[in-house]
Amino acid sequence: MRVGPLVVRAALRAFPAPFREKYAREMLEDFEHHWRNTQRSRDRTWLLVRTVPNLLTSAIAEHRRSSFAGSAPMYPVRREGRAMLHLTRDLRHAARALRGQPLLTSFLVMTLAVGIGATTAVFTVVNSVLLEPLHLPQSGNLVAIWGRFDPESGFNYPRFVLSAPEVVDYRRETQTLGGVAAWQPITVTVRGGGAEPDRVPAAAVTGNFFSLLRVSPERGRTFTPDEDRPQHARVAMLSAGYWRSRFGADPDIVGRTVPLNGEETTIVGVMPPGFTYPSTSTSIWIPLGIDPASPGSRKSHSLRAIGRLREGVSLQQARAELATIMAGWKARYPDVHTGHYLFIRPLLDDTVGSVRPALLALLVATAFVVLIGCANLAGVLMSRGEGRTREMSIRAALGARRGELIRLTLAEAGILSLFGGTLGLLLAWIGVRGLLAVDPSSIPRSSEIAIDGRVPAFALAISMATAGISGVLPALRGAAAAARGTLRESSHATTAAGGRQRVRRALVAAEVALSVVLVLGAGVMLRGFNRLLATDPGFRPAGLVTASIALPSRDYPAAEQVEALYSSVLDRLRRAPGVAGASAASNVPLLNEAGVWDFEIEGRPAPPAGEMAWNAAAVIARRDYARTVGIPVERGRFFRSQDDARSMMVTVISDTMAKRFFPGRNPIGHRIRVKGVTAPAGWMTIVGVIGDVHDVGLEAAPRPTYYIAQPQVPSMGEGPYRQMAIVIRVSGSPDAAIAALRSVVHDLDPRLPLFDIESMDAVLDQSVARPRFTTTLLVVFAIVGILLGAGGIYGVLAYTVATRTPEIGIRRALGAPATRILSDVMRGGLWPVCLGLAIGLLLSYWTSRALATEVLGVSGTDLTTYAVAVLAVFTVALVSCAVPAARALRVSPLAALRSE
Amino acid sequence: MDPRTFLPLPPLDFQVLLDLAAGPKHAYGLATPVEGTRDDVRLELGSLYRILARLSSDGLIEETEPRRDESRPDARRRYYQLTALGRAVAGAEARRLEGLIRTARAQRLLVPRRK
Repeated sequence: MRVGPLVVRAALRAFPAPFREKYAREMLEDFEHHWRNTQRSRDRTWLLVRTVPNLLTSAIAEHRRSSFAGSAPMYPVRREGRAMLHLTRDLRHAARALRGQPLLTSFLVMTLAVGIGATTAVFTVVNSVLLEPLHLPQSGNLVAIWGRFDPESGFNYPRFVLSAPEVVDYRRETQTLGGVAAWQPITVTVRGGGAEPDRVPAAAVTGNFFSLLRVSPERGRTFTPDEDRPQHARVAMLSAGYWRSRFGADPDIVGRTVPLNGEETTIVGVMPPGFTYPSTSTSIWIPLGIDPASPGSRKSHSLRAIGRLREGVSLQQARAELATIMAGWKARYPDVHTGHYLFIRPLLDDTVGSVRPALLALLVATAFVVLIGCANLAGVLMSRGEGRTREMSIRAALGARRGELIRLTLAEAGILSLFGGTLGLLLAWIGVRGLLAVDPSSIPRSSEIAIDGRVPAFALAISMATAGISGVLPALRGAAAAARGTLRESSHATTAAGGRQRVRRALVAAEVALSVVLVLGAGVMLRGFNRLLATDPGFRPAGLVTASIALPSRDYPAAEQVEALYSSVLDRLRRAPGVAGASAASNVPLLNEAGVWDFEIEGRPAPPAGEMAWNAAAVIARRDYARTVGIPVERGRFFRSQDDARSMMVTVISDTMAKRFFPGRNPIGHRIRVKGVTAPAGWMTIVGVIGDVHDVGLEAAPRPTYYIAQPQVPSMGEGPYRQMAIVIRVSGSPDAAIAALRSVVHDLDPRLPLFDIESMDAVLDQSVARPRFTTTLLVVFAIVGILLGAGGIYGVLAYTVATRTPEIGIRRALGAPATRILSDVMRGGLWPVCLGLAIGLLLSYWTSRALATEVLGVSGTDLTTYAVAVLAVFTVALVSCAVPAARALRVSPLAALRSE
Repeated sequence: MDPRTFLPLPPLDFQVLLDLAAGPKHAYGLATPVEGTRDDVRLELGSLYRILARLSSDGLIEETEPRRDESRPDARRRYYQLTALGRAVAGAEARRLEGLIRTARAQRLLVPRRK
């Protein structure tokens, strides 16, 4: 628990530099000593609450003192520090006033603490995820390199991976980048080490990958340029974590050979702990093996690439150079680079850019909560100021200057904000844990989220801003009232002075507007999220589990062997107890995205250059797949066991594909062929149309998809397809089904590991983790906001009505009917509410729209949400108005008049 | 310098001077007086160091050479001790308070506590 010393370290920064240089280190040590000697967390909290405000007030006093000192000795004789005396006196006076009303004071402190705490908690996440540089050496000048296909190219992919020749050419031609490295995520099977075979995430990387990232291995070495060639002896590097978990941190690991994907591979090095680029689960790196002399097809895109800007080169310069390079490529390879470009962006943006809108939305939401807290505080300070008009007037009459009266109110605001901020920091510390408990996996870099020195500084800044915002208006108003000599006006007035009334109305309007924006934002998110959850994924995830197996080409060289293994695994599995159905496919919806393959349609000319190419997601599947995962067959049939290597090639297409490529026609009987396949048997007859599946995400439209029967893949003239996800429809427990699959696979080939074991319910759940995270938090903030807002609105309205009690008494005494008075009072109270509603709705028009599209990826604003939000806020305001009004009416006219 | 120009001393300054009258101490020792010996006002971190800075610059206390603290062998700490002036000022303040107390007794404000 390091939070205490961190907070104190931050607070110490408030002292003037000479004082800090002399004493800060020792003060921090003293505090750490106290901190260590305090064991219980409650006592620690108390210690912090006592120490931090004292440090801050001492620091302010010290500043006043040193600014007075001028060129004189650092600590002049005491009695010269008049300003400091004023300040401490003001603070003491304010503290005494606040102690006098413990209930109100603690309500205000809690209000501020909740607002500041929420903002600081979200800031902590923003700070660690968006602001803190990546944990790589000099990560500021690392860039991600991507390709982009504009529609002109026949495709439309705003972000796409690169081909090997593009990487090789870019590396050769660039002057602005100090290097270009490429990698590709893979998974490898590890055997040996006496344990069960393991299937782990790995990366195939170019030889310069580690030197570009400027990370050296902890043991051994990285790859030599020679090893980064095709056909070189197999070598690999391990992550520190995997070295420990799989090999027991074997000190002699370097030089050992380990079977990777069935091939003996020499371990040449171990990376330091904490280095896991490109992904936190990367366990192994192997050479990618690009031959610069013949890097392969320019159109075969599969590589992710990164580069490092040379010292002193700006991103703009690198982009300008890239544009020149692209012009050269277009001239040399017009068929590839028409409408296809590379682009670069900072690696940090690339890593966390997708979560930025959500986090910023949350930060804005918490800022609204703080502003509501400010309005509350301002309202209370105003009312207190008025209650003390007489005191102020006397002080003014006795010669207190305007400035002193302002200072007094500001001191109150300052004390409340500082206590609120200190408590808020503690709440934030708890809140960050809460945030991470909601869902850590949906935020990139979530493991790096921590409170650093910037967070307490932020909380302090927010507290100061709160004090300023909420204190300045009441201070000015109060001083003005006192200066006018309101001794006379103060208590005999039957209605509140006009100016103050205006300020109070403005406060109510502001609170209402802020609440409306918050509640509407949360409402829109909630509706959108519910719509997302209600989306039919196109298959039945309940009771569906999946696990993958991959057959090494070394052990299964022939297509017949692959086919034999998969068919016997599935045959045996279908007979296992608790299994209602089983099949296999190359890609499972929402879990791993199927690649998009171009195709031709028999009897139709291919689309000309410049028009969209014909393509769709291609899934390789086995018989019964549609029935097992629950995709309805709409026309024709799905694959049968007769669809094998000897029979005519068939395909099944999705509804969207049928509508897009065969509009108004029955697609069954037409033939399509994967582009590039020349084998005469490669034409596939469409035998069925099945339902659409949301395969990349519930928020994304289903992609046109075609299915190819796994036993027929070799007929296209390619090798067999070796890696498949087994899908099981369970009738009993999912664990039993996975256990059955494990034992079936183990019986047939004990060397094959199962991986990507998932229940589809969980996969679906995980696919909406981020919108759930954002929505949950926004709803929480909205509830907190509207509760605080309700408290504030009630307070201000109740006070306004209460000041009218004498007026009501007179009117009652003169015989005015109660309903008339009630409607008068309500009208006076409700019109700022209506103004606030209007302003809030106007603001929400933009905010909620931006929220829905930027954060959730759904569009549209619906009237129901608006109506409910407006009704909720209005009801709160109505009750806040009606209760004190009714109370005022119950008072007998005599008592009301006597309340003077 | 006449010790009386410093009077009256702020109570916390006086408390620190009294604590140092027993011998040199470091700041942490001043912040944690022995339990039950006095019903002092507790000295918070920021206030304590401000007082030390002020008393030092007024010449009422001085720093000794940093040395090792037996309870915390890891840290070298600054020790503070009274100067002759500091001792004189503390004495003058005590006499001033004594005078006040005498007056209080004479006015029967201060009666012996009943057990």
